Amino acid sequence: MGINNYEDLTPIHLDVLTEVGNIGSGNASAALSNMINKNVEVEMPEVKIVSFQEATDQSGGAEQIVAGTMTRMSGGMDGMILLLMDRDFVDSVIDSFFGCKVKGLLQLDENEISALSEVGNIMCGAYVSAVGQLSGIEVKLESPCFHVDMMGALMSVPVIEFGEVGDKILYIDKKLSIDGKRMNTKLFLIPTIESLQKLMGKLGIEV
Amino acid sequence: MSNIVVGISDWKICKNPEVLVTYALGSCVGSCLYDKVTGIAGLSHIMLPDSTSAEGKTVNRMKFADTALPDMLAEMIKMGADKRRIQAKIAGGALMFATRSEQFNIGERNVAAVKKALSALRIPIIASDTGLNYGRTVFFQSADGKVVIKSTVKGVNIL
Repeated sequence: MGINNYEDLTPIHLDVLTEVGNIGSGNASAALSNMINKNVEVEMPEVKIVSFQEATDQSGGAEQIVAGTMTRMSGGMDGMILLLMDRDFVDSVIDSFFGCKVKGLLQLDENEISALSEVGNIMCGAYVSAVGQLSGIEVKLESPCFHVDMMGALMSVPVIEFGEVGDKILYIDKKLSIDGKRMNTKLFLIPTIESLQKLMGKLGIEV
Repeated sequence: MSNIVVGISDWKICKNPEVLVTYALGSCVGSCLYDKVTGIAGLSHIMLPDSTSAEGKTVNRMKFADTALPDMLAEMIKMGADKRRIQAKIAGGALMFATRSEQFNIGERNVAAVKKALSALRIPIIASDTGLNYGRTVFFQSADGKVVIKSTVKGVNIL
């Protein structure tokens, strides 16, 4: 039996991915904390196989406006990482960089976009480097693309790209708080099925 | 009266005066088919252009342009719509993240596939709001065939 799509993952696989997500997001939060000089905490992530529809519903609705960075992975692992940032998160980051709040997610200026892209870059870099250390897989990251729009429209990008195999996606939800305030910020690691098989193999899990 | 929600990889049909809605189309494409006389309206939300890429696996036919549109049209005709009167309006097919490695612009391919499928079915496209780089929510009013598109960039655009 092999993994041909995300629906084939067993509870053991999901446990392993929960741990991978946990270590990855712990590392990403530490990097964020260093960068913005605020206390960042993460809860144990929740790993589920859900339909794209459920993923957007559970993330706060398809039409919610969020800022997102999309970063492609290559090298030992193919896929992408999507970081979705809500207004509170953006305010918190911009406050630490520039000492002010943003006018709105749709009115970000160049400096603010550049700061948020860098945050995406550092957090995703820290995330995959943790995954890499755990598995011995070397992952290369491209520079992130940044865009503000409806959450559903942004989330459809990885789903479409890897959607040829099934209707379900791997949903790794991690909850994060900055200085005690809960943020609705999501980081999705979306490996291709081949890369997921490889990751499991390297971690010594039968696929 | 509440709107009828069309999900991702889904299509639904309604009759005057109901309203169909599909949220946050990114590179997906929404196709609105309408028969003015009977007020029968169908909205399809496809994710990918071509079902043949799935190579023999059982596919969700509502996910692909080449399978979703003929299926939806057949169902509309079964409900009493006259194919000769049906016209289409399409929206979506954006490129959400412009990266250099985006060798293939899936939004553009989706729009091309929808146009091809509709042309094969001989359904004329009378209006469209596609491409560029922003998400769109589509409301399709079966009372008058109007398509109301909401986006962060343009606000409201009516086709």
